[in-house]
Amino acid sequence: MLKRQVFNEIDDDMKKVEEYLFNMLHNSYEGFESSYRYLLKSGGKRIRPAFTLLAARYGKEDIDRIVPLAAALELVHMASLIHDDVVDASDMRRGRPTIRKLCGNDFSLHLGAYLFARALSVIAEYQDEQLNTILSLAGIKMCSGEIGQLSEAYSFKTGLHQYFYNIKRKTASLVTGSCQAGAVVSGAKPQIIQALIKYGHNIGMAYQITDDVLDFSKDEKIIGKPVGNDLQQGITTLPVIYVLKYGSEAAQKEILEILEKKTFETHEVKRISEIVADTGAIAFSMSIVNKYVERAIKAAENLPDIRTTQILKEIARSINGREY
Amino acid sequence: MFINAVGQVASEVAAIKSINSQVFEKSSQNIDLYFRDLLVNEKYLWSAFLCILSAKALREVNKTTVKLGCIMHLLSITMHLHKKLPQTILTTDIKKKLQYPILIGDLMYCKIFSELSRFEMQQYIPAVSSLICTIHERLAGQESQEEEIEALICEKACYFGAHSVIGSTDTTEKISELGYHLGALRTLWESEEGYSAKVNSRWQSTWKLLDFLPGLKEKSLFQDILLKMGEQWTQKEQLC
Repeated sequence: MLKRQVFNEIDDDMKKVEEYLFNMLHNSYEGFESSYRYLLKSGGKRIRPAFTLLAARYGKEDIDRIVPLAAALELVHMASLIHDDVVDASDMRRGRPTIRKLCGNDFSLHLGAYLFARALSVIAEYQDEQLNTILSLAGIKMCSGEIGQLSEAYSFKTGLHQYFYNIKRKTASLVTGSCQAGAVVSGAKPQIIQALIKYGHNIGMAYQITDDVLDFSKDEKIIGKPVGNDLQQGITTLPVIYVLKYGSEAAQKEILEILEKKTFETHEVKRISEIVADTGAIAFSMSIVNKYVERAIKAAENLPDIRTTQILKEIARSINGREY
Repeated sequence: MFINAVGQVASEVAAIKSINSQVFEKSSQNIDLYFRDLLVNEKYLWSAFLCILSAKALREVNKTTVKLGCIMHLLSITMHLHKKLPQTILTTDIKKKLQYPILIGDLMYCKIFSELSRFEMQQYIPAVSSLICTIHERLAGQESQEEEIEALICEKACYFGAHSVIGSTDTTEKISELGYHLGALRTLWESEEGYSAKVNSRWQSTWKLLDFLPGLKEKSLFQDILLKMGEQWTQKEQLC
């Protein structure tokens, strides 16, 4: 479990980010403000702002200067989730109805675009060309990753290499950007920024693979969205890719027969989850997570030996124990 | 068809199309084809065209003007992509139809941000983000018709064009007001399929605004456009 206590030491700073986020849409269009507050209250782990705050500790830490940036990164993430829910036609997220379900596709699309533009205006205030470039490239990679994944949907031919490339772009890029941005704005040394980039990349990869594993292995109530959600979107993730590549002929045949139907009943998703578990795909996927966790810790070894580095290592170690 | 009426900006408009055609160069064939149709559609080039025209009417067009024209072009296409979606998604086919426009639109926003990231362009980020916010607020609140949305985009396009060559002046503000009218006029012209009392009234007010616009070296560039629109339903002499 990505324990809350890992973040305990930045709790005060995170509260400032939360406060900033809550006040951001004050005086906006009323419909946006209420939906946005609903989203903020729905929770979320806020890992991106947390990494920005932690990375900023390697430079001249000025919390009032970092808080808006950390909040902007959460805003970009929120915008992408709102649009993802429209793209996936998802009704539930974090155990609550999505904005799409409550307010419709059009409204969600406009809210997502609005939040993204608000994030831009916050980032622009730093007047930092390097920061702008880091975050715009992270955004481009995120969108390209989503488009790449979509173009392969229902083909069920995604290989390991393509899968890693997709998750690198759609998830790891913004986590990397969050670490890098915090360090850059605080004026950290180049070698520290490089170490944080590596750390962020590996954490982002580990985080997404864990997410993909949880999609099969945990209860809907725990993960807050339907089990097998990716499969319902026609997307194969690491556990299924493993079965299709290394599973027995019978397992491959049974999974493909279900997948080729393109729409699945609950019992069929459950059956795929069983096959995934029986073939050792979960164990394989978690071994990959562990490799990324090890790489993240190794990257952190190149950071100064301060308490923040210990926290970053603890976060890395806690990822493979995540339950939601 | 209106853009062709002003030959003096043809090379800049061609440059914008060419630069933006590279946006999806490395993307999959499906996306590339989808995007290419939008790229050459004059409707979405209108804001970029007005941006260039505003600069040219005042001074010589510079690199910043062309970059801003590219941004306005991408913004117009994105607004089109992010317009009305089906409220209920019933089938995989319908789902597919809305997935690409959403994601490609998001990608365009990021590309726009990327273009604005460079040092000399950073000053335009607040104005672009404010424009995006305003448009999406109005669309979500269903407060605005297409006419007003286009007017807002073109208002900013003309402001950017003028700002790129003369900075922030009274003329820059006035020319952005003209942009607002030209954006609304074109949308009305299309929706009413040419002549109507509403179009005529907007045409007249735009012409008057242009008449009183100070400091334009080449006022005829805008006049040519208005006359091209006007010649569809009445005599040039009467309009002038």
